Amino acid sequence: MLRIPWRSTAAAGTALFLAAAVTACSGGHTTNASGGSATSGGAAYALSAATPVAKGPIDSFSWALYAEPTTLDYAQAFDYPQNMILSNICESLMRWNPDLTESPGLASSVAQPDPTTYVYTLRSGVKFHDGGTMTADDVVFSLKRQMDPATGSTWISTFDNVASITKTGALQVTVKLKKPDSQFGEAMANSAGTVVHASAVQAAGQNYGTAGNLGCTGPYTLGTWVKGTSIELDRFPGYWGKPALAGKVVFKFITDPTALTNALLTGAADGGYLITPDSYARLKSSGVGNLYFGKSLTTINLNVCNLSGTLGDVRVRKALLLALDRSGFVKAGLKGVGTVTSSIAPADSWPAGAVPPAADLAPTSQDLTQAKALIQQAGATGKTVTIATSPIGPDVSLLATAFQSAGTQIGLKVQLKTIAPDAFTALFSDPKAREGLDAFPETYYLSTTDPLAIYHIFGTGDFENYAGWSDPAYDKLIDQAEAEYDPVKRAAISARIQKIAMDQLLWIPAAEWPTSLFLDKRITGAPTSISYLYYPWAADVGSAG
Amino acid sequence: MVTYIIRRLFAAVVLLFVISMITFFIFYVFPRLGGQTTESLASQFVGKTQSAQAIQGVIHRFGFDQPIWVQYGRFVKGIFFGYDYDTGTQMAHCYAPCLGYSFKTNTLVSTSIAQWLPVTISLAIGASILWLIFGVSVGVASALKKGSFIDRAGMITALIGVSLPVYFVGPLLALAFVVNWHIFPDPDYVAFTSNPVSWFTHMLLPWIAVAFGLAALYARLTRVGMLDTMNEDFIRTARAKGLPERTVIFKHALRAALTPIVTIFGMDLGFALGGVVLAEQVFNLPGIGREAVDAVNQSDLPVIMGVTIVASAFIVLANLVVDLLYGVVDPRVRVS
Repeated sequence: MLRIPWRSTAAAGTALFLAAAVTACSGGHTTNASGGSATSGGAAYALSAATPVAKGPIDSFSWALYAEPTTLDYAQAFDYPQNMILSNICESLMRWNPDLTESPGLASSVAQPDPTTYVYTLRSGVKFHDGGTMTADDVVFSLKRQMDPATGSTWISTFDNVASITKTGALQVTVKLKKPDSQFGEAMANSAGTVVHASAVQAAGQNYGTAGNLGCTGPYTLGTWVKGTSIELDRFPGYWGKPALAGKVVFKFITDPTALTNALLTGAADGGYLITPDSYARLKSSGVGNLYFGKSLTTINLNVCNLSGTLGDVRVRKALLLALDRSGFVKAGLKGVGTVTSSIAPADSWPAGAVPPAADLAPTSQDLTQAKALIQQAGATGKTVTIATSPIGPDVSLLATAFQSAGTQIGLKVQLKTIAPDAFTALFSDPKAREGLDAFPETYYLSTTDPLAIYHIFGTGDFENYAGWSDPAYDKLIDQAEAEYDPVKRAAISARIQKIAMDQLLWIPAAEWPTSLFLDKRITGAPTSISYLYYPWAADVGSAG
Repeated sequence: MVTYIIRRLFAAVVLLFVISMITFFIFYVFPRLGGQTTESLASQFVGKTQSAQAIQGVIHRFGFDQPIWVQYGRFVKGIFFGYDYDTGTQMAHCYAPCLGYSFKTNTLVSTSIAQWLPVTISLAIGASILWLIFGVSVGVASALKKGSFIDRAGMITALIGVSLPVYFVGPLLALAFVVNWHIFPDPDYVAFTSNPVSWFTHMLLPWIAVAFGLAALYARLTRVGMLDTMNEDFIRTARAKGLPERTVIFKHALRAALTPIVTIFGMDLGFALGGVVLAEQVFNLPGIGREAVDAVNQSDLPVIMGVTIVASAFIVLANLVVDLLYGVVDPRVRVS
């Protein structure tokens, strides 16, 4: 999924300043960041598996959020602002836990009598916020709504292989697939598997998600939404699970990064995810709270979108990877909190013990000599590469500038094309918006703990296959992996897929970027991992003292 | 006088009409001249995974498939008469003055602006009082004590104020008074009607940040105006008549020196009411300036149009009020 973490108007200017640092920085070494400490680019940080468990309930806490969601419709929830809030209001059939494993959610169990059938048995007595009781009909309605083109769901591709969704019992729903699809089952833990009260959606019509009753089952109900200012969540007394510790959560929309940091420092906001790297040091040394980093399943990459230009030659793409000072990028752009990588699939997305060997991938260190040789072999010296950049966030502008520096050093003529934030978002969905570009930066996070979730992108015809690349052998492996339900066996196939994808370098990887979380001394309990996008994290937040 | 006001009001309406046309042209036509198609515009509003059907639905719903003049005509009609609006599943009526529906939030633009306006008005009015009082006071004191320590200190402070933009002064004030010294609460909008004291304490820093630069400008203008006026014949005459110096200064000199101040104050206040963009951004105040920036970033055209019209109306109205005030402030204008 797309990540757009900041909308700082100052970002572009900052990026210009930092760009010089990127080109100047070098060195550092990398170790695997999974679950422990890591160093990269000369800085050190530690990943926390969790924050201390809350000692008791609290009346309320406030949460800083960099942007206001445009809607809380679960079918449109595909970015941080929506999902961070909605994960506490609406729930899915399955649940993505803080350790990034899955467990039953609104479904008490799931069975697979054959490879093309999922049978979900629902929890009984689950209440919607409007007082109704969850039924199989609601589940069928919720899932089918995602499949309806009129809904315009962000999650519609999850249902590509679905043949039918039917009620097969008072508390049982059966999903029939056209072909085996392991990814469908995993996706039922994110917004694709959300269950809502059918009558609430129908009553709200087109206004569903913009205010009032969302017809969900989560530990919090949607309270007051003051447009442009805040959203309040109120504890749902009829929640089927463990009651939320806080009676109220107030999300404050603070668009300016400096103002957001000040709010955390002054207690105007008790906590927040997605801390801007420029504020890491200030918050860490403030003494008013704790800064945590966690598993994010997030990589920062340069997406190639034109294979008929200079980047059409794989040697040029490899040369760019080798020329990029990834360590310098991590140090300058991410303030050292990140790890350089030669894979677009985050290390934490692989099952334990199934991570492919590093030897399968390109080295992570900069190698200008080899890069220049590749450019000469390709006859690409002096050829033009156009990369999009945007003030949408420093990760975008910094990476674009870093690639410009890398390309220039090996004899390419790299042009940066600055695109307005709204137009930049269109790059992900509109082929016409990508015309004239060879590549653009994207920070990408996974919504399931599976490397296949990112590598399916390069399948023929996938909407995120921006370059239009196609390889029947690759497609066959994707089909094999999707059909394999054993995670370890699937990972073995995914490793072969990764080898092909990373040999092709259709997305050129730069770094893995952990989640960041700040909690003041009053509260604790929030998960550190990216699970907060779908897990009801706010329910765990309570008193620290 | 009444005829004059009616004439000016009519001119203001014509001006707003022209502004709306230009704004509409900039945001609806310019992108197309730059190669943007209705599909690429619509694709911004259908989420990440898109289907041709969904894009066509948005094109029809937002009226992108209609000629530009029809779209503009619907906008103007909405302001005066309201119009029926397709929500996708049903028809809804938007009552006049209808500024349309936000493409992003699916809410009435006029309702949103009504929510944002108290924030901007609070910021603009409070800051304008500060910059007027301090700017004029320092300017008068500097003029009366020309060359003194007060004059030099006042003008150096004014120079600093003019040189420092809000995006520098704002974070600096927040760092000192909020983060480090905890004197003020973190700036956040509290409605005056819910808690006047809290409203005041939360708005004070933004007021100071906005007022600092403008107060400096006003101090310099007032000083120059006062120095010029104090050398006028009518001041000499007033003194010759034996009027007390205080009367000479405040009743005669200051009134005359205030004329250009009133002019610029009207424009500045109107501009501020149209959205103190930087201050709202820096202090995270949900006023129409910050929302306008968000709307531009999101291509939310109805919100851009609505905010532009409202901001323009403030500036036009402020200028009208200034023109009327001339006669009150300066008797020479009233006579002419």
